[in-house]
Amino acid sequence: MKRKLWIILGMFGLIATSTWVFGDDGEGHTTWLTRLWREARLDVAPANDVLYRAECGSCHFAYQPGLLPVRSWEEIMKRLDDHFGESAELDVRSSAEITRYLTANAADRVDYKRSKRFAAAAATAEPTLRITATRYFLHKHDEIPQWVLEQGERPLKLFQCDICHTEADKGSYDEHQVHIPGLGRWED
Amino acid sequence: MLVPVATLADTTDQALADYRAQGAGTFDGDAGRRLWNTEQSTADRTTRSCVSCHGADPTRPGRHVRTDETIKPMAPSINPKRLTERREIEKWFLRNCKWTFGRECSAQEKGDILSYLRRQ
Repeated sequence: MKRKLWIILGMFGLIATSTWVFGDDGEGHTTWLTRLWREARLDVAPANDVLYRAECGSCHFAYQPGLLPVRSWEEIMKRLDDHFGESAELDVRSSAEITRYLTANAADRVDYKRSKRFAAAAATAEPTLRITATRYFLHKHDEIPQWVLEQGERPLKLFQCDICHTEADKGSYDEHQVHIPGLGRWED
Repeated sequence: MLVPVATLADTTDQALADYRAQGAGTFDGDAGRRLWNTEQSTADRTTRSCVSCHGADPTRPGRHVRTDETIKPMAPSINPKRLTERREIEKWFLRNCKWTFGRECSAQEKGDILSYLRRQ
């Protein structure tokens, strides 16, 4: 009986310390352990390049370089004047700098969990320019029925990663963090 | 240390002077407003204009018609960073004129639009 009590007390202790170590203090400050913990769970490296974020992230979600292989990024950057039907032209210097950033951190050059999966899937198929058309992406999203995408006020588009993946901008695509607007949590 | 900050007046005045040097005449904010609202037909039978993404009211945020990404207001009165960087102005004119009108804008058109936007 006494032993049981100690176990329960011990569990409370564990929970209490884990929220202290891994939790926010409510004002957005996080402990170094929290950061370490989050870092370890990242699926891809966050897209923190200032120029890339400014030039590409002002029109769409700043897709992490680790979501496509080198060949895809090179192709995308070669044809910015027809960027999926729009002009996204950049001056030569910015374009070269962004190309360097994207290719140096591409799926087949870095070591993050999902980058490796994207790279592996791309290695066996013709590389596509669309992340949403890569085999790995399709495989991970194939269980989402059409009605889910159309149930809200505005139809959801699969290229808007951060609409459902609440931590996408930080490089985390954990399934437990998925929150579909209008539907809530989603797990398959 | 004091860092010189480009202002709306510095940058747009300089841009307008350059457009004039490229052969444009007097700039007209009302012509700029009309151009801003001009609808252009596209091959897929939709129409597009500056308003498609920026919205009808430059003091309000816009929404990118394709990606749904929010676009900060164009009005310098609301968004003081607008029209303060020459490089940005030219970049967006190049990209957006091509997408909206299917061609680059002339110096006159750019000056008219700038004259319209700066007073917002």
